[in-house]
Amino acid sequence: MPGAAPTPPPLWAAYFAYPAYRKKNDKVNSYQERLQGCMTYSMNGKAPPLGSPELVAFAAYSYWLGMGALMDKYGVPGPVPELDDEELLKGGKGDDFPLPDAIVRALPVDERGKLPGRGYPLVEKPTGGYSPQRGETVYRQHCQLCHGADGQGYASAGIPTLPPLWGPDSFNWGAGMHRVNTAAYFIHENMPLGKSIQLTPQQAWDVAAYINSRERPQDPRFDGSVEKLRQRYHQHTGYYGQSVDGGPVLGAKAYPNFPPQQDSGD
Amino acid sequence: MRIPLLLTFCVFLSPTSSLAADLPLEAGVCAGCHGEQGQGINNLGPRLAGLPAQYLERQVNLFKGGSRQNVTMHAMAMGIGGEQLQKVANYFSAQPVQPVAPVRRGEQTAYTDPAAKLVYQGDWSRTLPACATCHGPATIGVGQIPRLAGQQADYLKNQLVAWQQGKRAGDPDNTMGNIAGKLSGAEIDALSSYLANLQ
Ligand code: HEC
Ligand code: HEC
Ligand code: HEC
Repeated sequence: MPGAAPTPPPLWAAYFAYPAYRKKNDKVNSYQERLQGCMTYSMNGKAPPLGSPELVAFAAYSYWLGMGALMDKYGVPGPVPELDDEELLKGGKGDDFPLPDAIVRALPVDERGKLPGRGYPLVEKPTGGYSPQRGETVYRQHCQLCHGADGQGYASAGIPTLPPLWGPDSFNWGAGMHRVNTAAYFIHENMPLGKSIQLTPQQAWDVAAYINSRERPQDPRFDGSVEKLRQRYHQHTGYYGQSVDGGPVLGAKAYPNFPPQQDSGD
Repeated sequence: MRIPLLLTFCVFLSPTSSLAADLPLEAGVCAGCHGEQGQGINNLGPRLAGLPAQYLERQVNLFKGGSRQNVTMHAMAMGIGGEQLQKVANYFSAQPVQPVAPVRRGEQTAYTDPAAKLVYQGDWSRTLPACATCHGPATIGVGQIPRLAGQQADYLKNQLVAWQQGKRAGDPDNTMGNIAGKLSGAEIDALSSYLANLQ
């Protein structure tokens, strides 16, 4: 079932981790706000408004997957209980979130954010650090087949098929994936797709540094100054606001957010 | 051996064809089994039309080096290389294939046919991505990854079995060897006929 595998991070584990505080926008986010974040940052798109039928549908699917799994695990019989839209959109971590007694007892609020598959398993940072140059070699050997020599992925019959990893159509500078650590975890667990080989932690960090040291769409929180944004939101393992190998400062020539050509559906 | 026979057969045949003018001389011999437009001939040779030129070239070299084991194609591959091979690969790659309506991801969410389910959704409990994720919408091919839709069922089946038996290798990072190794015999049969009929 789409969205159900434990890695990549499943929708349903996230469902029981919200509402929760996020540093990203410095406030407590409901599940529907978290979903909007995926669309604004990771997909460089435009999120449907709060309370919209699209967000209700996503939330309902996440809840249904997660609740079904929990009911199986704790032996609660019967169909997944229905919720009204307002409750659905908040997420499953609230104190007053309606859950069968057996599940409340087994999973107090604090435990719910830690369901298996929540976040990516950590891959320790190599003691010798990481390098975009070495990462390029990894990229050519193990990634280029699907993501293209130029990192722009591939379309087939006009349908985007294999995703770009940098450039105008990729995730933007506000997405979690632009951080070297987050990308290294994701790549180590999930790439190359199908896992015919297992990258070493060193390879995963190096290639994550390589793909994340190139220009991509702007951070949607940008308000005119790359440097100010770097100081406020980019004190982590990423390259926003930095120059790599004497190249231009990353973020200064960033691509637009939600570019109009994405409207056309291809 | 039947190769010399076929050789004379297609040299004899090509001048009478309306497309003979387009067919490079070097591809004449290949046409005997793969068809003049690379459309494939049942029981003789698979369709080559529309496959990426670099893919075709690489496969011929894999036959030559023995990573792909096939007696007929080994002999054929030994007779061609360099610019001649490039020319032939470009020719077959440029030949038209019957269009297949591409299917967008998520267009359908529930499948009753287990083969269709593997093609469009895979089986993540076995880390088996959907065939369409790599082979493109409706498996019409993408980048250097070949089209499967409409290819001969026997050929598709033979390839999946060859990977399982170690008779086909040379795919980048054993990508397809890994996938084929996770399929049961019944799944291979069902997938091969499902894909062959996608047209
Ligand atoms: C066989 C094809 C294939 C190979 C090889 C491959 N990928 Fe991917 N990659 C994909 C596909 C398909 C997706 C999209 C996954 C999805 O949508 O479920 C993806 C997604 C990604 C993403 C997430 C992109 C996003 O927008 O969130 C990253 C990062 C990534 N791959 C990095 C890599 C790296 C690094 C390598 C080499 C070590 C690699 N991939 C090798 C097919 C591949
Ligand atoms: C006598 C028949 C015959 C002739 C002539 C022949 N082939 Fe083949 N070819 C085959 C068969 C049979 C296969 C399938 C082999 C297998 O199952 O591994 C094949 C497979 C191939 C493939 C692999 C296709 C794929 O999808 O991976 C390529 C490429 C190819 N042939 C190219 C050529 C070229 C180029 C020539 C001419 C120089 C040629 N063949 C001549 C019978 C033939
Ligand atoms: C992770 C990516 C990936 C997935 C998923 C995948 N394939 Fe492939 N497949 C490839 C690549 C790459 C090749 C080309 C191999 C080469 O270059 O030698 C290939 C080649 C093939 C071929 C040989 C085609 C020919 O013309 O010789 C067959 C058959 C095939 N795949 C069937 C399948 C089926 C069936 C599925 C789904 C069960 C599937 N593949 C899923 C990557 C993939």
